[in-house]
Amino acid sequence: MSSLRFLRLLLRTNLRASLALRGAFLLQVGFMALNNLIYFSVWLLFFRRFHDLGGFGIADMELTYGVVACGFGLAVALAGGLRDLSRLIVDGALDGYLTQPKPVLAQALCSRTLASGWGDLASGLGMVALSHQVSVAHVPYLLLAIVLSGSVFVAAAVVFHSIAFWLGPIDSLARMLWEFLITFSIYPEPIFGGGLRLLLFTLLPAAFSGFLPARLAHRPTLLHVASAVGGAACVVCVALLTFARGLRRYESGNQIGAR
Amino acid sequence: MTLRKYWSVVSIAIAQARAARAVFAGRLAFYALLLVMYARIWQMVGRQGSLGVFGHGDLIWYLAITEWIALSVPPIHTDIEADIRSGNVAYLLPRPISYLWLRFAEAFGTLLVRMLVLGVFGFGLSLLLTRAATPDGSSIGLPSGGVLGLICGALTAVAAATLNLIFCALIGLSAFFIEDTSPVYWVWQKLSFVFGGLMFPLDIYPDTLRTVANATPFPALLYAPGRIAIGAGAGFIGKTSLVLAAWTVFGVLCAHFAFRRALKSLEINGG
Repeated sequence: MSSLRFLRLLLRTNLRASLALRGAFLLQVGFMALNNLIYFSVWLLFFRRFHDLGGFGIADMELTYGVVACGFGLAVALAGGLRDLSRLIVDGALDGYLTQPKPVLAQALCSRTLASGWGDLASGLGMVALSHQVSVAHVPYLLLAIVLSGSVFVAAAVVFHSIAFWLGPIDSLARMLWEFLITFSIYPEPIFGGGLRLLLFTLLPAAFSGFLPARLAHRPTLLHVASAVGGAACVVCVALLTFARGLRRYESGNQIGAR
Repeated sequence: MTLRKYWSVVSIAIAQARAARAVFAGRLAFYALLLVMYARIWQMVGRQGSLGVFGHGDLIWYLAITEWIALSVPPIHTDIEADIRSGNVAYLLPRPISYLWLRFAEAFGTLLVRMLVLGVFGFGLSLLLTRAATPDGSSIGLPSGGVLGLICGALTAVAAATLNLIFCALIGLSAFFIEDTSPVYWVWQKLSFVFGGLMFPLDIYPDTLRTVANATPFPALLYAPGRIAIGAGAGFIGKTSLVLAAWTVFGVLCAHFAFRRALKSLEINGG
C-alpha cells in the first residue's frame, strides 16, 4: 500500500472516529468557531476605534485571521498528533510506529485528529468571505495559501517538539512556542519591523503561516506565490531534517504492542 | 493544622514552579515580545494622532498589567480534567485534604512564583519601553498613577489573578459532567479578553459594550488592576476591592457547591 493511500485511510478512520461521538464533535466545532469570533471582536473594536495601522485595515485583518484560522484548523484536524509528539519521543512511545513499514513522522502526526480544527476552518472561511479581499478567480490561490499556512503550522510543531530528542521532557516549552507562533501569525504585518521581522522569518516562522499566505490569497503575483511557497518549503525541509536527525538519538521505551 | 497542610502544598508547588526554568524563559520571552509589539502598535497609533485620552506610556503599562495577570494564571482546569479523565481523582479523594482545595493550593503556589518573576521582568521592561517613548528619553517612564498607583494596581492584580484561578477551577470541575472542558475554557478566556479589556482599557469601548462588560466579572479580572496603575481615583480602588471580594465569595461558594454536586454524581469503576 502506498504511503499516500495509507495516510488517506488513516485520516478517514480518524474522521469517522470523531463523528461517532456526534454531540462532542459538534460541541467542539461550535465552541471553537464561537471562540474565534469572540477573539476577533477585539480586533474589530480596535479598528473601529483607530481605523487602520500603517495602512493595514479591518479587511486585511479579516483576511489574515481567516487564512491563519483555516491553516491552523487544517493542521490540527489532519495532523492532531502534533501536540503530543514530544511526549511520544520522551516516553519512547514511537516504538509502535517504528515497526510499521510507513513513515514514522506521518503516522505519529496523523494518528489523531482534533475536532475543534473543523470549527477553525469553518470560522476562518467565514472571515475570508467577509473580508471581500479574495475574488472568485483567486479561490485556488486561497486554497494554496491555506495549505501553505497549515503546512508551516505542522512543520513548526515538528521542529519544536523534536527538541525533545536532545533535551528530554520539553512538552510545555514546545506547546508554548507553538502558541507563540499562532499568536504572532495573526498580528498586523506593519507592526513587525527590524529584529521582530527577522524573528518571524526564522526562529518563529509566523510570516510563513500568517501574512505571506494572506498576501498570496489577496494578490497572487509571481513574487507572492514564490515567497509563500518557498518559505513554507524551507520550514517543512527543516522540520523533516530535524526529525530525521533526532530519530537517530531516539531511545526505545520497550513498548511492545500491536497497531 | 487545616491551613498548614494547604500551605505545605503551596510550598511544594512553589519549589516545583521554580525548577521549571525553560518554561519560565519561554513565558518571559512571550511577555517581552508582546510588550515590544504593543509599544510599536501604540507608537503607530500615536503618530496617526488617534490615541485619545491615554498617553502612549500609559497604554504600555496597562498592557503590562493585564498580560501579567493573564500569563500568570496556571491551567488548573486541565489538571482537574486530567485527574477525572485518568481516574486519578479516585486516589486523591480519600486523602485527608479536600481534592478541590489541594489542586487550588498547588495552582496558587505556581501563580505566586509566576507573578513574582513576570512582575519584576514586566515592570522593568515597561520602564525601559515607556522611557524610550518619551520625546527626549529623559522621563522616568512611570505610569500616570505614579508609584502608589503601581503598587495598588499590583496588589489588585494579585487578587484578580487569584479570583481568575477560582473561576478556572470551576471550569475544571465541569469535567465531572461534560468530560472535555476545553471548549468552555476557550469561550471563558476569550470573553475575558474582550469584556476584561486585555489589549486596551474599557474607556475606549463603545458605551453599550462597556455597560455589558461591567455586568460581568471580567473588568475586575483585568481592566481594573490596569486602570488603577495608570491613574484612578480612591473611589475606583475602593469599588474594585469590593467587587473583587464579592466575586471571590461568589466563586468560592460556586466551586464548593459544584464540587459537592460532582462528588454525588461520581461513579468510580474498577479498583
